[in-house]
Amino acid sequence: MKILVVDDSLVYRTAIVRLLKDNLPEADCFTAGDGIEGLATYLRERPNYTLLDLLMPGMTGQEVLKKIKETDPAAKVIILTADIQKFTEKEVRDLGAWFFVHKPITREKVIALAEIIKGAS
Amino acid sequence: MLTPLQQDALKEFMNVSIGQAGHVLSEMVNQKVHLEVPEVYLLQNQTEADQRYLKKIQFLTGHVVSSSLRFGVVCSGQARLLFPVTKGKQLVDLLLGDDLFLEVEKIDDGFSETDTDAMKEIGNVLLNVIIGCLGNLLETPIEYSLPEVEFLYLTENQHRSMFCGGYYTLVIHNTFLVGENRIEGAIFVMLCMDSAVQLLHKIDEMLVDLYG
Repeated sequence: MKILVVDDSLVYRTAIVRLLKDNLPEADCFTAGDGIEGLATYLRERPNYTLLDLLMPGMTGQEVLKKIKETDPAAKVIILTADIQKFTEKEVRDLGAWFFVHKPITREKVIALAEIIKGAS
Repeated sequence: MLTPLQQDALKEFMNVSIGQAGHVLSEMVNQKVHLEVPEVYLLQNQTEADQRYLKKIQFLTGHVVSSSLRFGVVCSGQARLLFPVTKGKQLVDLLLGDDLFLEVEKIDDGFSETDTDAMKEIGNVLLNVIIGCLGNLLETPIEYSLPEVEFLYLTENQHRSMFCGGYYTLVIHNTFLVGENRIEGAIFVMLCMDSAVQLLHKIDEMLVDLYG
């Protein structure tokens, strides 16, 4: 199983990958620090699951999500964002996001995501 | 500029928003966060700021760390979260002290690159809560710029530079108590004229709902 984590915060990106590996030891994790790198990594690796921040340099998470869904309508993309606006959640759900998780990212949230991924795999 | 009733309604709304900010901060540091009641002001110009508020932000004299982002579409302006550097560093240490960040290298003095990254994320999350609450109140979508962290040295005379001409400034003076740490900070939300007018209309609607 391949999981891509796209987040411009190195601190959180590193912590998310560590927790995912703790809970999904069979997963190969890939990371990207901005939207452009995130899309390029997605197209190269074709991950089974993508964890995607929204507010990032280069391309926003919404733009990356749109491109991913154009390429692969069945892609499972989990949005990670600090944005609490109901409009934003509706926007990314309309774009085809699989799950929506509010930041800050915590151990419990990553473990819950790992369980969701296990259940869907 | 605000009537006492409007001031009260605005304070109550920001109380709820700061409560949400306290909740997300608690998630970040993995500890209970106690909140003191925030002081809230909507200031129209620098003169008003001079008279009513500058004395209250003396705690921001000296080295401060600022996280800011711009926001726009229908409601536009700039939001800035400020802490004295020592308090900002305490907050970052509390965040990185969680075993979620075991592999992060910690330093005792000053801000490392990792500390700055963590401070940026703290500003991002807290300011998103405050501005997101405003967007939800005004029932309008808001877009954000990337957050920026700056280290500033403010003298007493430079506090008024926090108030931009032509903007209304929503000032929220808040204190978070995390364990033994008392972390005093301030949030400045510069709102363009149209956005401030919308906010006042919405506050009036809330008052009509409450009082008829």
